[in-house]
Amino acid sequence: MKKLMSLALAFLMVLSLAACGGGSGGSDSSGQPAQSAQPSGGSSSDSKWPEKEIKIIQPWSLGGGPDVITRQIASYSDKFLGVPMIVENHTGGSGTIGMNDFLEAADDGYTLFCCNGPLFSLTPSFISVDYTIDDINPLVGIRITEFVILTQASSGITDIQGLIDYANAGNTVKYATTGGPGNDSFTMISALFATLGIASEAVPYDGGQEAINALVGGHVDVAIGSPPTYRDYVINGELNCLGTFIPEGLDVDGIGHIPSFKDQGIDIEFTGMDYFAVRSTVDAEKQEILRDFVLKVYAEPDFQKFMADMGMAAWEADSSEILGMVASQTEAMAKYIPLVQ
Amino acid sequence: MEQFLGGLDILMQWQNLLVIPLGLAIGIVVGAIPGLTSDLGIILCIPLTYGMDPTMAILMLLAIYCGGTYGGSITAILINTPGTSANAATLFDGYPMTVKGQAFKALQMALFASTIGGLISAFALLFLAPQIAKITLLFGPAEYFALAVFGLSVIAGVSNNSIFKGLIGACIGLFMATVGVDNISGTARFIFGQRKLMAGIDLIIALIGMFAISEILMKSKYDPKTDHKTISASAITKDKITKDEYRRCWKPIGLGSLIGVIIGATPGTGGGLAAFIAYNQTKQSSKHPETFGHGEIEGVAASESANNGACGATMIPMLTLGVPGDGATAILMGAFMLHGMVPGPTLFSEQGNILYAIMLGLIVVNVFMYIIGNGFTRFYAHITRIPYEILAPIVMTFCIAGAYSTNNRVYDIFIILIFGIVAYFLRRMDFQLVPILLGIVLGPLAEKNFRRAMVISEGSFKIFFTRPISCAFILIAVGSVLLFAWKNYKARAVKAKS
Amino acid sequence: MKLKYNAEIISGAVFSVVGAVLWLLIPSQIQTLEKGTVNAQTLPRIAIGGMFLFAVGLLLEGLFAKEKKELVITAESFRSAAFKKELRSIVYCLFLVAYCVIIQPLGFVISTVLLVLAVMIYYGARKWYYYAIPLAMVGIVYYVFKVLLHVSLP
Repeated sequence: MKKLMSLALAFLMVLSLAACGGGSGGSDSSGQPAQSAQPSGGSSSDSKWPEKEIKIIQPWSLGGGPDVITRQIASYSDKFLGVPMIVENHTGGSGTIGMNDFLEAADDGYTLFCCNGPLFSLTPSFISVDYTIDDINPLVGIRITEFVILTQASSGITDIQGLIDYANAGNTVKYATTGGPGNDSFTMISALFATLGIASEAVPYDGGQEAINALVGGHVDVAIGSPPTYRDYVINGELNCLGTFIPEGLDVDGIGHIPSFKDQGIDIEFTGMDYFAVRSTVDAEKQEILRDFVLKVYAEPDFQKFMADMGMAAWEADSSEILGMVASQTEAMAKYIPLVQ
Repeated sequence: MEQFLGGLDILMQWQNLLVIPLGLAIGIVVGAIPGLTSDLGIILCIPLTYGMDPTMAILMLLAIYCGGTYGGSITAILINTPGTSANAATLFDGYPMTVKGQAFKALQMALFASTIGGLISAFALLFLAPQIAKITLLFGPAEYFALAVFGLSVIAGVSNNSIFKGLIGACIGLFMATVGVDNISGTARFIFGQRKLMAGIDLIIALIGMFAISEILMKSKYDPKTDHKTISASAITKDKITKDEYRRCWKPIGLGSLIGVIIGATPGTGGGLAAFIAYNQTKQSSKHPETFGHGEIEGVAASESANNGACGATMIPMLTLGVPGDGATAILMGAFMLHGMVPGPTLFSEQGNILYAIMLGLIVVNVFMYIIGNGFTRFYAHITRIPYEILAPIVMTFCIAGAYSTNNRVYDIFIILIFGIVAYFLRRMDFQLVPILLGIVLGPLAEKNFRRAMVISEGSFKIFFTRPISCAFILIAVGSVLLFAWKNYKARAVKAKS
Repeated sequence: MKLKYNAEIISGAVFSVVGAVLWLLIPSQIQTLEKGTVNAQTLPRIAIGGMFLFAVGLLLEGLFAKEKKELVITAESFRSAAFKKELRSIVYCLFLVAYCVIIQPLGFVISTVLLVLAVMIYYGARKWYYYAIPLAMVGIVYYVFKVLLHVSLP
């Protein structure tokens, strides 16, 4: 009897699910046309927006810096917006796969994208893409990434001049990067060595920590890193910082001031940035709600402590500031890319 | 010592002891569903841990990880489909045991071996982590390449009927692993103009297609009227492991656990490779290698102790160096960061108490796993009684949903179905699927590190022989292939005489 | 018509063709700017070249070293039980191909229900509750993924 009851129940469930599943399947698959038929401004005056879960498309892999921060921010959504926020990782193709999935989603404000600068300033030079900066609108900044160039303490090289001397002594400098061509760290460190005119070879690794460990293990001479990967090793004296691409230099807890390459007389600069974006056609009011939400999260003491523990700070930049930075980065990259190709 | 006791104190809170069984149950269920891996289980449960304190959260996720790695053996044994990539080596003898009607026995041995492997691994993490971490740092590109070559030498042992077929399989696997954007040069390879292929073919997707879908197709000739045997419920659990079998299995389990710890502690490899190497070594050192592949309980013991032996060990490079040992630990690392612990060299001095609580907790996790697993084993063994015409569509549903959820891409569903059909025809031609899997797993490891080593050595092959660890791995690889060839030759000579 | 064959001949022939075709595709599919001798084409060349050589080896082994089965193809053989069984597995593969086509327009639930029904009818399941269990499972999977795991199936 019990068996029959559960069977019947299950069957009922299937039927009801099939019914609603069919409904939603229909509207999902119609894709582009559905958006135009259903004006996105329709429910915007409604103060109840958002009404359903919000999705963040994450083009970078699970557990990486941007992913961890994004997931932490999303965890506050229930509290502030009353709807869940889920993070989906659509990785690969240097972020372009995620970007395309994001641009294919409806512009109803329910899909966000964890974006960065190089997707516009760098990637198009290496991969054929069919998006432009006009397709998106930045909502709010997430963080600034500061690339630092490091050497092993035992090598005795403490600044750029030391590295140049090492190379001039007939050595080829082997440097670990966090990705291959088309990756921002690869481009910047390669451009730096090209500017310096020293003999060098790139050894691409997968991700920041791998590159730092290759240096700590003594397999390469130089590595590029961003917080928090290198901090502990510099504090305990295993690695030296040679400088940073941030034009103003960098102050890191426990390390002190890291001078910029600009200050050391080399004309090269780069400021990495991660930010949330929506499609540019999303309603302004919805964008405001989402932006307010993120800023509220940034104001939470818990969140600030979380960021501080990782050696980072939230970046509250607004849309125009981010767009301005992407534009100047694109200009700068036009200069660097020919150096490395 | 102070931190040790502090950790014990934190661990002994009742909430912590409560989340462990919960995590294990989730892990075992998720791991036992083809297409759902412990990776996915951890990702999906991370939001549940937001409100917990760090120890509790990490223990729950660790329980999912260990439970999932064991749980994957259940489907490998029962329906010839590894639940996760770590369990692929369990197929060799696990499923033949089921065919012989010894499913329950195989499941019990998988659980026993997993538990012992897990415990040894947990102790290694607790006592040897800093020392092992130092060795891990010595692993440069040359060593990783040599390790991959050693892993590929396993192909000789697992393609027993035809070496050509094994080698073709490995080449297919290596080829499939090159699809997508090559990370070192940034070049797209074999994407045939399909942007979606730039991300490459996910290992778990290839696995579901090759094993689960092709297995269903292999049974396409199944006829419910003649092929279904009704087995009574009591008959299933009657056949238990004998004392003699436990005694025989000690050596494989010890060897498997050791290999699991070593391979697990090497970043970027993981439990699947450990299981293959352990299986191969056990088979080679056995006095009766001919029984392997035909339902030999020692084979199950070796591979299952190795993959769970890797579970704790993968945490060593993660905690001490911030480099994840495999996919699941990469996700765990994210969870550590979410809870305010940044893995790296200073983690032990800054958060020692919590870390010791977690490492001691891993021992508790493995003990609980044995208890809970026993309950599940009794239940799962009855899957073999389900008529295949019902089981096949259910497995297929899970595979499709699981494949989609891995990357949220419909195109992954196409890949599993196409791979399934191709793998089915390969199996009909007597190809083994394992060399293909080894090619997919080890191809990227071998290629990336070969190219890195070549840059570092400025194009000289000497680098692989002048570095001691690298040279040792290559010698073992060559040695084991030669030994295998010689044994094979002798066996043939004996056959020819008789 | 008379045919002599074994698995080695068939698979060896297939993979030597596949290997040769892929080898010719390498320059167009992998365009690399690297100048070194070891580049993005190196491993694919080893894998594909290996596939071709080993396949040729297998083909030769099949032709000269292994026993061959003899197959006489007549009108009769198309009506034999063995041939029908082979045909059945092709039909099964076609189910999967059809599923690929319908999954996007119809969505997960409808297309999977159709696939489940097709497989069950294929096996010739008779009892009604045999159909109910896998069908209910489709619903349960959809529900669990969508609601509990927040994975929106297509």
